[in-house]
Amino acid sequence: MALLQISEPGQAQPKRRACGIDLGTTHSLVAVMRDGRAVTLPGAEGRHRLPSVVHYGDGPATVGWAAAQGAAGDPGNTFFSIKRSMGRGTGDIDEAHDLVEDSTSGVPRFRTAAGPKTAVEISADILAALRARAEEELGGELDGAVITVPAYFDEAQRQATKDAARLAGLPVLRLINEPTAASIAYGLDQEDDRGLIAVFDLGGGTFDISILHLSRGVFEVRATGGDTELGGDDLDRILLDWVKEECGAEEVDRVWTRTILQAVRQAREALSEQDSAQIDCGGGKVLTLTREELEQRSAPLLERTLRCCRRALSDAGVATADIQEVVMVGGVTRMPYLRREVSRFFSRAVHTGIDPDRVVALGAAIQADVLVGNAQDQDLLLLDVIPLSLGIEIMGGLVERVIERNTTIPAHHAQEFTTFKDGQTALAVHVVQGERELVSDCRSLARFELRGIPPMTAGAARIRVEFQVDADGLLTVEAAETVSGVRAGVSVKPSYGLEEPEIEQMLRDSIEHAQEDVASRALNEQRVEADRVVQALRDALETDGHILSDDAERSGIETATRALIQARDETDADAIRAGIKALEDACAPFVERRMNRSIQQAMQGRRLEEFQEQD
Amino acid sequence: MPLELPQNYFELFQLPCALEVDERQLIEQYRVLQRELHPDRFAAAGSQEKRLAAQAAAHVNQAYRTLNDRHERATYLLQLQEVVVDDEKDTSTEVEFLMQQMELREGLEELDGLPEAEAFGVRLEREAGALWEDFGVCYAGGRWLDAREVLLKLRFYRRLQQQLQVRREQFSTG
Repeated sequence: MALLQISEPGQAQPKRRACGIDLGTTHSLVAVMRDGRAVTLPGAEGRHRLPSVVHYGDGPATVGWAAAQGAAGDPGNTFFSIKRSMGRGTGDIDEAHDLVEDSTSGVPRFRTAAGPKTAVEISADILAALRARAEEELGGELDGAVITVPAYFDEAQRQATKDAARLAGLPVLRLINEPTAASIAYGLDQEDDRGLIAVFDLGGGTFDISILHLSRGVFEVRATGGDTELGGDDLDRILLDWVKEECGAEEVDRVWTRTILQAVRQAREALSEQDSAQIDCGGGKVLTLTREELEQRSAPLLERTLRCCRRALSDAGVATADIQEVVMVGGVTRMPYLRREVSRFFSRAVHTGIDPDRVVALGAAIQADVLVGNAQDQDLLLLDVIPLSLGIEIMGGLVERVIERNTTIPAHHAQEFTTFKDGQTALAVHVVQGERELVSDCRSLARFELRGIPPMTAGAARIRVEFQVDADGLLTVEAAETVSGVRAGVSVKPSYGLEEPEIEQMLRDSIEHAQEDVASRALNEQRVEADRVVQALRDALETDGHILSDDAERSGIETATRALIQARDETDADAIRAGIKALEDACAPFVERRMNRSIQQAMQGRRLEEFQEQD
Repeated sequence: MPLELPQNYFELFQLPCALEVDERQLIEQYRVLQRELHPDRFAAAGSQEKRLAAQAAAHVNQAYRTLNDRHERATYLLQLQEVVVDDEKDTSTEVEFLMQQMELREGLEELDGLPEAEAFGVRLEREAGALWEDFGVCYAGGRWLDAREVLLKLRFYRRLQQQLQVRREQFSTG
């Protein structure tokens, strides 16, 4: 493409390629818009659900059904439920895998036939398989993707998901929460004012409950709660213990465990349709699992979900009677028992109309289509919240909360702290996430130091710590001493997160593995970015060109644009990067003026509406 | 050039600067502002737009959160008069009031079942309501420090109401 085309007014813009991805604990899906409707995409073997299973052998990674089928034969190199390890440290991993000892950043690395792998890389392999599906369907490289995460995912888990997307070469428009995605798919915004809805989302590995208020296309999350270690997997483990008891099996190996886990899952799923199911335990022993037995075993799990529901309701300041709709999401909610009990808890019938396995991916595709700019007339706005409070460590190992859980994002909050010793010139800032009062009970997110504070008496320094949470729920922290102006800041990379150089190294490795040329991939990425920037600017100028201050500003922007387009058609990635920067600088005043005009419109729009109402 | 977003929360929501707010206007204006300024509107735009939108939307969110809660709103009203109320450090020092609070606290602990909890809730509601009226009178009369004193008392009631909610849940779930 030599020149960017400017469409004539009234002429339809070409559709941008976007997809929604549900990266699940046990299964993953990808969905796109086709003829105005969201559809999930099948793989080559015709199945839509891709098991979130990765196998590493001699060649490239195998993902999905093939990996799952071969699992029993090579459990050490096969990874199930890797989502549970995302954003987690070595101490949190209880997988049946060997860890590689030496890891620089505290991110666990699993030993595999293809070398050490982190959870982020394993997830990236799953994402890459889904990306290929979407690109085949859409006929080219993606312009944007929305990836869903459990609403209750913390900062580290979200960051890990975003890193995995980057490794998989996915241009992420937004991470959105699974329950929110499900409510979009149900189209519950279609009616004028649906009031409050509850989304009960029990997947393979995580449980979420979200309380949302819907009104004319605005999805406002009022409260969210859950448990990132509670799902169908846990039920299978309970059933595994039951099988062990019944068979009198004590010493068991990984292969047996893997086989039985698969058998109990199948039995559990079958029990949604029938009253009893058989489990073959090997050695000629077959057990019968009845629906009644299953329900009894599931009761503690149900109770844990209801406890989360109660807290979310209380956080939202509402009672069960205020909830007007209940949506069930996640394959486990097929269990008649869960449907019955959740329905009883909320005293109302539950929505189960859309396939609970696909609903999240479908909602993500709808949102991706809006965000990428294909559906500008769509009146859809998500106002989501952070699930866990963010704070910093203060004296005595206590947590001072800076942003409370269930605060709508993006969020910004500043708090002042001071020094406690005379002449103190440095301050350690330790950022944590969680609801408990002791730092040791919360998750450590990041540490950094503010140095060079001029010596003052204790309590005289004014240290302003600013927290900023973006629309993906990711945090940036800055600290400044306001008397002297000393500053320090971090874009929080969680303690169990990958460092930037590590990600870059992984990217290089994966490219080499795929026998691509590293330089050509970097060049291609910069070209895509340049096209995006120029296109976004063209769109902006087309609608708002009249607010350019004068011809000098216009010609400055045009010159920078021409320079960028020229650089783009040559082969120097760094030159393109510089060109993007130069264009952005040239546009800065225009961009700010445009944003201020949006503000004015918002302020005036309301007044106009008022006049109309009074007429 | 900073964003030309009204810094005063009431102005942002086009509401009169007062304790009582028109909740419908508040939520409607919140939605109007977010429709224009939320970063999702700029997901395909340049990095500068995204940054500015995040900044603007965060300001709108904080303003909404403040005005949407009566206690926060009252605190903000005083803050606009440069009267600071620190949640952590400041507290009422009126002996008679503190005695009465101790009594209420004991009452809360001795509750035995839902009906009693409901009755206790009604009592808290009534007493807090009277204090809110006091706050309104002090605020209207420009007696900021008196208003602040009333607000500090109201914090006790807020805490009691939160604790009562916990008790209620305990009773209803057994």
